[in-house]
Formats: sequence, structure tokens, C-alpha cells
Amino acid sequence: MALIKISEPGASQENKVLDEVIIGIDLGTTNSLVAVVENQKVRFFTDEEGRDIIPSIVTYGGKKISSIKRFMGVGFTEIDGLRVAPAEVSAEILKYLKQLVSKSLRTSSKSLPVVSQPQGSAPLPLLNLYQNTPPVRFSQSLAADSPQRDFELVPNTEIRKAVITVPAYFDEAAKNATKLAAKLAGLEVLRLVNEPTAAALAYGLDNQAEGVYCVYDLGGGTFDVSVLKLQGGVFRVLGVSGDNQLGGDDFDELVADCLKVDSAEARRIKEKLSALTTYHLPLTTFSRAEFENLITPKITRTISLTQNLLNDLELEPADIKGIILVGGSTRIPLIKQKLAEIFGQEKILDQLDPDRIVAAGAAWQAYNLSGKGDNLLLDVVPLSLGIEMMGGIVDKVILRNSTVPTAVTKEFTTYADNQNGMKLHIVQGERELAKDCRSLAEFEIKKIPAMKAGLARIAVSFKVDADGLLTVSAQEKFTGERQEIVVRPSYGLSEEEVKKMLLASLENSKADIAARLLAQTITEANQEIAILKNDLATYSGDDKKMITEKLSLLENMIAEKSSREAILRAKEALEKTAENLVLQKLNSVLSENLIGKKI
Amino acid sequence: MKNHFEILSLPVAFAVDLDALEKKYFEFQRQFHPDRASISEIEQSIAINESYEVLKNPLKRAAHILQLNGLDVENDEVAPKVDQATLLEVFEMREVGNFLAKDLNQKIKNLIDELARSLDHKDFAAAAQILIRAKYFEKMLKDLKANGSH
Repeated sequence: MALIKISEPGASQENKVLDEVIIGIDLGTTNSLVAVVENQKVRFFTDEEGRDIIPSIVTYGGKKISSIKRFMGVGFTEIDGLRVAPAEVSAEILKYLKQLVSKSLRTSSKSLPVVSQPQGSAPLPLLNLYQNTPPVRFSQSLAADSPQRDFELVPNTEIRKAVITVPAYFDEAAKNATKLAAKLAGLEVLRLVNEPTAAALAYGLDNQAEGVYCVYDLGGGTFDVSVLKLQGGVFRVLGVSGDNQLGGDDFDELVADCLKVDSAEARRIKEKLSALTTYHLPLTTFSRAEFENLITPKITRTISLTQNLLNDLELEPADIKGIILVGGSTRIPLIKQKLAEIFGQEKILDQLDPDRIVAAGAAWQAYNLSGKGDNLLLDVVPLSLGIEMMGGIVDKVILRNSTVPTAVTKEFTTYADNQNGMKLHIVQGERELAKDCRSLAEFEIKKIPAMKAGLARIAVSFKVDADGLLTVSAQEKFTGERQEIVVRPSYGLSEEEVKKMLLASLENSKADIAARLLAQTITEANQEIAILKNDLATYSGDDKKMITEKLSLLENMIAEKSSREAILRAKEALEKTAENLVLQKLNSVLSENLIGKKI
Repeated sequence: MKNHFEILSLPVAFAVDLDALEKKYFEFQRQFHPDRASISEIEQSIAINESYEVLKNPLKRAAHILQLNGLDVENDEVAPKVDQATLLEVFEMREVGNFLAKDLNQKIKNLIDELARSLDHKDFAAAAQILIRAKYFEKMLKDLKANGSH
């Protein structure tokens, strides 16, 4: 439904012009914030209790669940052709988003950019969060909701557009879920921005910073690290890395386990130990050193992810001008200490507000997109996107850390003679085998005209838009048959799985290469078997029995999953035995061709 | 045939000032990036990203110049074959296995200098040979890094 524009009779011409406000939302794992830029300053919305940092809590199955981000992209079902999270969960996320926005507006609207209000008229709320409810009715229901509250919305201000931040390491499923949840809440998402990128934008604009910066973002539930180059109003992401299952909540858990306290108490203790060196419990004490011992493995992991990213980008710590710390967990002194050991104390930018900087960046990007700002963000694809080939190997089509928007077209061909269809399995991840990557979607190319194996040409195009969302299309070149899908993952991958995938990708690359070689060998052997079987059907040489024997020997080897060497040996033996057959076939093909040319 | 130099309105030349290239890149993205452009088409922004990616990398840039001159070194079916000496050298290095990233970097750097000379003289056949050699060492460097970081 289009938003109904309401203007007072007799209002001046300017009042008819809606002042569109685009808000920035930091939809955090544990806390969320809403902000807007006005008069070149970021302003945070507060809820009725005066808080601008609003806990991200939804109720699900009678339980209060924080970390709503962990629902994103998990367990999809289909509604109206759109993939959404299980109804109850998404409903709760929706409710949360709606409350977040409406509460913020209710209590903060007085200082929103106000288009002069016609004298003597009642305030005209134009907020339309429910798509099927006319704005006026909605405002009444809000008012009825809280009759005593000092309730006022800004006239001629509509809020239905937002920039929402997501962890840089969110995959396609999680990004789609976020965008959809916001859409169902009545918000048009103008852009999804990666959290560290948003932080760098806010920092860069506040400090007129230029140069290469590293953003170390350790939130409640996720860890992201990004390297950006800031130059002349362009914020270019050079690379990102991270771990979706590493955050401050894990530290709480460790403390809770160690001290046998609940997680709220553990969290309090953790926070205190950022300032104190010892925390006194009724029966015992807990020192900062003991706490640091507990969390060291986790911190070490974040540091090595950071160093690996620098290596990938061929950067030295000396090339980094500053480390922007984001997320409440970066208040922990051990983190600053570890980072200082690599980069030097002077580069740790800890005077920033780690809780608010992401929302501030979202607000700035919203400002840019409203056409008022003059800055440009160039972001990247966090994880490679590819296609599963015969044998389960992944052919990466778009490599991680490619700048978006981006598009790559690759040609694929058929594997067997007269193959008339082809299944495209699209995966995301860094591993060599498709089964170890995130499965995003599958679709089929049909009506490939009958021809010899390897002759058909199927052009498959991957396109990633500025939000990092993927569309895949495929075209068979002879018939022009074309198919396209927007990738909305058919099944959600839990973050536990993402974590496993990332860890495994780092640790298993050697085993991966061996698996890849084996898969390749099997594919080649199968191809040969298919060709020879075809040829044998019309062959009547003395050696036919021998060839058939060697052929089934090779088939057995493959079926029994023998070693690559054994399969190679059996394949060679078959090739040797079948030499005569191949020669004879070659001769007949050649003479056919000659006849065809009518020499 | 897409000409990446044209897309970023630069002259076709192997020598590229990286700062100037980046400046051009930003200038064009400022105009055509979906965040900035009023039209919803993203094709131009995609093309600009791709052209920048090709032109900033000396080996990709050289391959593109050769392609513009009718020599496709990216396509294995038509690319010239690597010379025996390089093949033997690579084979021996892999066999012995005691080479360092910095040695490979130096080799690639030297080859890029040679490449520049050949391209200046419009000796595209020679340039293609040098490029193929450089790509072998680049592949080795990549493999070395992949193994080294684990």
C-alpha cells in the first residue's frame, strides 16, 4: 500500500512536501540502536525509559530470548514465494523491530527535523509501520496504547526507510532474513551495511581520517574484522574475516561455568573486571588474571583471524593507521593489550564509544543514501560463491573479498553424450568440496539439445548487488534457453554450522586438496568408462572380453572408494588394454569426417 | 570486446600510475555506484569494479593488453605453451621445496619488468611467453601461501 500523504487544509506549500527521514538501525545480537543524522550530527533515539541502547530480546515459546540475530537465516519456510524464518520466530522479530522503531519515535520525535507545523492544528502522525493500516488509525492505536504519555509525532515526517547493519560475516541466508523481517515490519531497507564498515564510516567522518584502518568488532555474539581504506570520502573495504559464533556471551558462559553463577551475574563480574583487578564474591574472589586465563583461547583466535586477514591482503601491521574498536567486549583490557602487541599502543583507538559507533555509521549511510551526504561505501563479498562440479568439487565463481556490486559469467558443459539437463548447485564458502560448503540453492537447466559430451555451452552468471545478495542466471547458448533465480537459501544453516565450516576451512585445506584430487580422478575415470562402454557396444575385436574385465575392475575400485593411486593404476591398465579399440574408433571417425568433406 | 582502459577512460598502456587509477576508479564509482546513481541498473558499477580489478594487477593488465591484441592467454586451449626451461625450473623448485615467498616475488617482479619492455616494443608474442612464465611462479606463490598459513 502506498503511504497516504496527509496535509492540513490551508497548509503552506512546503508542508505538503514530506520530509523523508531515513533511519539507521544497528540490529545487534544483544542490543539494538536507532539513529539519524540531523544537522551533520548523529542523534540516537531513546525508548520510554530514556535508554538508547535497547536490549534485543524476543519472546519465543514462552521464553525470553536475547541474541535475536541468531535467528536470522535459520530454518526457513516458504510464505508467498518468500523465504521466511519459522512463523513464530519471525513474528517475534517483527514485533521487536516494530517496537524498536515506534518506541524510538514516540519518545524522541520532538527533536526530529520538523517541517513547520501549521498553527493550531493537531500533530499529524504519518508514521506507517503497518502496511495495511492507514496512518491515522495506526496513530490512534498507538495513542490508545499509552494515553498518558507525552505522545507526539512529527508532522510531515515519514519514516519507512532504513539502513540496517549486519555482521560482515553474515551469509546470504541471514542477510535475506534480516531484509525480509524489516520489510514485513513496514520498513524498506535501502541498504544492508556490514557493521565494521559502518563503524569505519562513523569514525572516518568524525575524525576526517584518511588511510588504511582495521576494525576489530567483538560484539555479544559475533566477531568481525575488516580492513578499510579511507580516502577522499570513499570508504573502501579491502577485506573481511570473522567468526559468527564468538562473542562476549561466550565469555559470560565461561565465567558462569567457572564460578557456578547465572549468566547475568557472570556478565556483571566480567564487566567489573574491565576496571577492577579483583572481584569479591560472598565466599571467594575472582581476579582479572583468572578471567583472562579463561578467555585467552577465544581472544587468541580473534587475533589470529586478524593477522590472517592482513596476510591475505599483503599488509603489514605498520601499514595500518589505527584500530577501531567496536562492540562492548572490546572494553576488556586483554584485547587492547594483545592488539597493542601487534600494532602498537598508539594505534588503538579506544576513545570511541564501542556501543554506539555502528548505529552512528548506519545513520550516516542513511544520510548518504538520502542524497544529502557525499560519501561512498565500497563493500565486499565476505565468502566465496561457487558451483558444485561433477565429483563434488566447488568451482568458485565469485571470490571472497570481491568489491560489490560484481558479476562473473562462467561457461560449463555437459558430462555425458546427449545429456539434456544440468543441475546447478550453488554453494558459499572457502572449502574445496561442495558438501563442506554452505548450500544456497539448486536449480536445473533443461532442454539442452542432444550433442556429444563437452560440446554444449551453458553460461552461468553470478551477480551480487550492493547489499551482497546473489542472483544466478544460466543460459544454454544454442537454444538461448534462459533461467534465473534470486538465491534465497532453501534450508537454513545454523551458525554452529557456519562456525564449523570456517574453522574446518582453515584447518583442513590439505585434506581438502587430497579429497579434490581423488574426486577429480574418479570423475575422469567415470568419463572414460562411459566412453568405452559406448564404444564396446559396437566393437567385436578379440580383446573385447579383456577390456570388459579391466573396465569392471576399475568400476569396482571406484565403487569401493579405493585410493587415488589404485584407481589411477586400474585406469592406466584399462587404457592400455583398450588401445586397439580406441585406435579403431579414431580411424573410423577420421574416415567419416573425410567422407563428410567429400574430398 | 570489453576494453577496461576505456571503461575507466585511461589510455591503453602497460605503465599505470596506481594512485591515478584509484582516483579514476573512485571518480566513476561516485557517479555510477547504486548508492549514488538514481537509476537502478548496476551494470555500470559492476563493469567499473571489474575494470579496476584487472588494471590494478600487472599480470591481469598485461593479459588484457594481449587480449586486445588478439592473444588470449587466459584461455588454455589457445594460449601459447610454457617454455621447457621454465617448466623444468618450476618442477625442480617444487621437487626441492626450499624456495621462499620473497624469491618468488623477486622472480615475478623481474618478469613484470621484462613484460613491460616487450609490451613497449609491441612484441606481443614475446610478452605472452613472459606472462605465461610469470603466471607459473604466481601460482607457486599462491600455493606456498595457502600451505604456509596452516
